[in-house]
Amino acid sequence: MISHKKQLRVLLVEDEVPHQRLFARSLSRSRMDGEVVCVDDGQLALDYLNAYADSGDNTPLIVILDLNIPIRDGIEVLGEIRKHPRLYNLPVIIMSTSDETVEINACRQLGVLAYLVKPVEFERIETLVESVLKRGEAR
Amino acid sequence: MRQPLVSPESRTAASTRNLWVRYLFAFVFIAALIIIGQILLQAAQERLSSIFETVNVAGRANTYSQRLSKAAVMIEFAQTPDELYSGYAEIETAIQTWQAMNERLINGLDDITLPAEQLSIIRRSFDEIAPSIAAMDSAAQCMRAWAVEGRSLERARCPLSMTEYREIISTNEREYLRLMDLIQFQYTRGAEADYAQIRNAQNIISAIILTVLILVSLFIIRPAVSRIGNIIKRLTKAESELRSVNEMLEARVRERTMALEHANVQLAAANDDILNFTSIVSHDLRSPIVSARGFLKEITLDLRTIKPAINVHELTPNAKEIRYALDYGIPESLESLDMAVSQMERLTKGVLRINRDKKREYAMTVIDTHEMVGSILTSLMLPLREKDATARVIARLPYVTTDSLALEQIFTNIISNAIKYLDPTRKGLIFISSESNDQRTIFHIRDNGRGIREQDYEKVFKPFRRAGDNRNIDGEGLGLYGIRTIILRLGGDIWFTSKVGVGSTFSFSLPTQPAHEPKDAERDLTQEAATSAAG
Repeated sequence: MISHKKQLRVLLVEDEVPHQRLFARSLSRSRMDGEVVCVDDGQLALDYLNAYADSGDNTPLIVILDLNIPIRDGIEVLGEIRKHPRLYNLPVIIMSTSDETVEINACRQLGVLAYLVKPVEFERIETLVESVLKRGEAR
Repeated sequence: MRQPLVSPESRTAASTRNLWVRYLFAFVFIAALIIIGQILLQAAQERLSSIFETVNVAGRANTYSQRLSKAAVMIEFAQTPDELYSGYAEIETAIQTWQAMNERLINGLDDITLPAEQLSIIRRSFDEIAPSIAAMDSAAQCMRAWAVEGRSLERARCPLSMTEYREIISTNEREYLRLMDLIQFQYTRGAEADYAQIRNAQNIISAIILTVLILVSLFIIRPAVSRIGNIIKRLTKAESELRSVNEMLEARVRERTMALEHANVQLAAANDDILNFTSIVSHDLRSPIVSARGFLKEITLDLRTIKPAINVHELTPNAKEIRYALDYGIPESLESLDMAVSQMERLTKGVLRINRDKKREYAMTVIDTHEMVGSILTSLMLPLREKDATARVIARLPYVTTDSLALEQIFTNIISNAIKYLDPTRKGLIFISSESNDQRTIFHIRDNGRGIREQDYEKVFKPFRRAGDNRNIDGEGLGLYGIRTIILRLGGDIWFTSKVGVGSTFSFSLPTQPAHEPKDAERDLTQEAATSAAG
């Protein structure tokens, strides 16, 4: 567990401040010790991801994506990621207030680690991140 | 257009009656004239024929007078007894016939109608002719007697010689013929005058008839024709007005129909807007609700962290209040906030669920409701046991063709409601039954629960309302509203009867045959499912 510390970066794409704060608080209480980057619209998220891809940074990155975000919505962002030559394999967790089948199916088709409906038990995120990191270690 | 006092119809009727009276009067008048003319003509003809007969008689009288004088000559110059006898026979016949004719002429004069002038001339002529007749007659009598008796003829009776008698006869005959010619002439003239008079009368009658006919055509036929023309014109006008009114009405109907269709489209769009709007609002509400819940939890955690660290000294001026706040005030506020937020969450979820149901396309399949209700009752075992209640299906429930998910929601909701509102003071009983005909199938869910108060009836199917005493009863209160929406969409209806303290019966109907038949593929799927379930 210690070995993963400082080796994880979480990109939280979330436009609502209360949700950002709640996430940060839960993260600080958790076993995880990573860097959190928070952007509050879809375009900024894509900008960050492009920069990350170009920089050659090797820090494992997990995207936690809200669907209802300004400029470019979560599904668009997810689509761009899946089309990206280097980032297409990026683990993405969706956190949304919507439980609409249409949206769940769209995300499933594009490929997501999980689709979580808010409010989210933080333990689930912890478990998912740990499993990703373990697989990354095995690879 | 409008006549306030006399309608055009009644005016027309009155003047038409007037025309009829005039026409009848004219007809009777003409007929009377024609009859009078005929009577006059007939009388004239009778007169003429009697005159001509008289003229004829006069002519024959002339002939017989000639025969008389000839017979007189025969007697005078007779050489043989045979010749004498022939003369006698001749004179005998001539006298008799001639006298009869003369009598007829003179007596018949009274029966003959002639103009006064001719009549007086004829009378005078008859007076003049009388001596000649008498002379001829007595001379002829003597000659006849002489032919029979010869020399033995009394001298006293016939003093003159035969020659003298013959001369008397021929002399008087000339006078007789002259006067007879005069009489005949007068008769003919009288007849001509009479005929002329009659012709005049006829002409006058014809002229009157012609005048009357002209008057008739002027004052009856012309107004009648113009009236008929007017009537035709009015009828044509009325017809064209009617046609234009009809066209206007049709146009208006088209207009209204279009407006209605337009309104329908708008309404559907508005309905969609409302659905979308409520959906968006509910979605957007979810996010702040989630935040609120999260921070409630945070505060609870923070409070848990703070509490042991705070050591409120007894001597602190408001130590009691601080303790109260920490131990009761804040936790109670947090709990209340949590309850409020939870309710908000349920409401938004409910709205979303109903919206989703409204947007969902129904898939019509054949459903065994007996099986469906059975499995629903199994899934509701726990709440039933908690309430110490029994749910039973009375008789086998039928097959219906409808949307499976929708029907399951309907049954689950109504039965859950029945369980929820059972009377805790007695053992709960719930009965499910059905009845069906060609048009619809009705399901009844009867319970012996608390019942619904009459003043709460109208709230039962309203959104966000729970009728009556709803303490200790959870649920977002959208159940029956949502269920009614679904049933109405399926083409059915829902209603209930209830009595406080006795129980309620909720009934809903579904069309026995849905608006469109299930597709073959769907039916196959249903059969497949049934087969696999059986296997």
